Amino acid sequence: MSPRDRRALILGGLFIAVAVLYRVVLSPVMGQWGEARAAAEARSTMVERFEEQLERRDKIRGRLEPRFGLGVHDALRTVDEARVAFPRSVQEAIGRGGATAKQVEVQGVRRLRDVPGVDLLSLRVQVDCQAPVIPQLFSELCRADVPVIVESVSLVMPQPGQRQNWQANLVLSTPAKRQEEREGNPS
Amino acid sequence: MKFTRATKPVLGVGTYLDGHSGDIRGVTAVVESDGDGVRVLRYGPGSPTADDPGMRGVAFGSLVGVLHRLELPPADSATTLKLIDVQLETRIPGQAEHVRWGWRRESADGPVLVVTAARRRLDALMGRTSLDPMPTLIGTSALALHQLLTACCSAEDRQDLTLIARHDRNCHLLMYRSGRLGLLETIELDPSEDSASPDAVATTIRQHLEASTSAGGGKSLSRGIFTLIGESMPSAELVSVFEKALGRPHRRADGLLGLSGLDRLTTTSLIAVGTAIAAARPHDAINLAPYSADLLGESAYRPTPSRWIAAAVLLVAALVLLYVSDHRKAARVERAVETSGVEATGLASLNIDLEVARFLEKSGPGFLAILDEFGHRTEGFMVDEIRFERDGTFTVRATARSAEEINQLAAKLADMKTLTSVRVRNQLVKDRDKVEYTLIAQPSMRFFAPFAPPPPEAAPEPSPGGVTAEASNYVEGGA
Repeated sequence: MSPRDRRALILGGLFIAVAVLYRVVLSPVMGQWGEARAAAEARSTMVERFEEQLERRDKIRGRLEPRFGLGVHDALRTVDEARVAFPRSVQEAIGRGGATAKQVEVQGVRRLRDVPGVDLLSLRVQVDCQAPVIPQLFSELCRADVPVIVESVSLVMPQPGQRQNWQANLVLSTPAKRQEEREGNPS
Repeated sequence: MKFTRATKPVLGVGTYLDGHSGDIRGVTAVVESDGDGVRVLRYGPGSPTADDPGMRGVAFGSLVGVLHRLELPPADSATTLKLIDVQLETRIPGQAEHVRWGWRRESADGPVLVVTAARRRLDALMGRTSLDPMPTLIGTSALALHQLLTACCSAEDRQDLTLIARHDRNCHLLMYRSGRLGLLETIELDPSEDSASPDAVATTIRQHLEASTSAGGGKSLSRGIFTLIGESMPSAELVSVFEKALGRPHRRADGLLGLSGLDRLTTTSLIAVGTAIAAARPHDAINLAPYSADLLGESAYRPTPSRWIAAAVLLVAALVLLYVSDHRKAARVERAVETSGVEATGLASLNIDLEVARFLEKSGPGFLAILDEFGHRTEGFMVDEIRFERDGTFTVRATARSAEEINQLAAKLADMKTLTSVRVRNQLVKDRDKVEYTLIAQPSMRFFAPFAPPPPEAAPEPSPGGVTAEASNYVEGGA
């Protein structure tokens, strides 16, 4: 075999070896490598976005705290959980406000427009109170451990002329996670 | 005890091409050179093969070089090249551009040896060769012999040494004085001289040597030794004639050169070996190639296989490190995501929280805020009924003492922040100082500032009578 033939054979063998090496080893490894890099980048982007959203949410919640109490920092309850927690929380706030709740009943659930997966649980409350405690009553509702939205208020004197005794009919609501959302997502 | 690092052996391939007869024929030597001497691995007629290892050099038998000894100050290669250019313009005015030259400094601060050769002649010879790959070193026969003596002859023997090498009609003369090259010349003998007696040839050479010695102001020719080589071993008679003519003793080449692996020390074989040595040690050689090692620096060297392997290993190691680093980073991010609960569902849940928070923020003024502002502005008015709807109206039914007072109230409420579109409807005069009225307004959807209730212990006593918010720290604000 001449040196030229031998050189051609060696070069050909090298070329085939490199091709096989690329196909069997390099290509899969490069693929895995690329996937790992892409996954890490995607995760990093997600974490960055998450932190950004978290910061934005906390800022808004900080502004909301004086209006809705510390409850704005809590995770959203499901409708079922809110059905239990919301009336209890409202009754406690009314009690702290120096009034007596005559009637507290769940009025219903309606969808919150523009926020998918969230409902507003409404509560109809009837309260008898003295005139001076009315502001205190609403202040305590602001401090309830569940965010309380005052949907409607009707303050009337049950007996005309007796300005000290008032009856307040309130419709209060709180946001809650829709039930099917929770079922579809166990977390 | 002092340890010295062993010199790494280098391989060189030297080809001597004789072009006198028109077609170029060559002989090739492959040498291994290290600190202990030079070993000839292969010698034979023909061009080098692809299997011959090492750097390639060629010496043309028909190429004549001229030695110039230039006294130049120590400088870097680039500066030295410029200085040589200037010096050559002076020494061979108008001819510098027609020559190709190579150079080497004798010592760190010593003179520079420059050898020039006719550019056209050299290019023609290169054009006629079919060496593949092209050699990195080009030299003359005399240069090859100089390289041979530099590498294989001891410094002591080279103190005062004259080399006379005959090949065909050419006679290469190299003369060292005090260990330095003083003469590097190729003379072409006349055909008459060539066929004449050795006496005539010896006399001619003596005259050349004397002429160059006297021109250089050197020592007497009678000092030192000389060696005679040719295409066969010089006879005793020939040596005797030359000893008589030159007046100095002769040393056989095989006793002078530390060279192994070569059976016959002929002019041709020694030129090929000298060329191979020059190719193996390009930094010690004078190179007439247009691309000199000086110009290309280290890149003139072809990397050794071990360097290739080292570079490949480093590259693979770097890639592996990068690969491992990326995978670790991915795993770290994955763990961080798992522990922090940042997943697609977590992000969706956060988005919902954010939307709810925005909804709460834009849900208009709270009833307490309206009541607070309204209470401060309507102090003294008797309120009978208040109705409020978050997305609807704020209605107050109250009693005033006169219609004028109601108008004043309406004016006061016109610039409220929490209410807009304040208007009085249904005034009903019940007696002289009692007027019932209904006031209707709309909660301002642009007012989102919270009402900040005071701490319970600091709350002032509420004013009796009407519905007045006791909080005096009403927070103004607006979206």
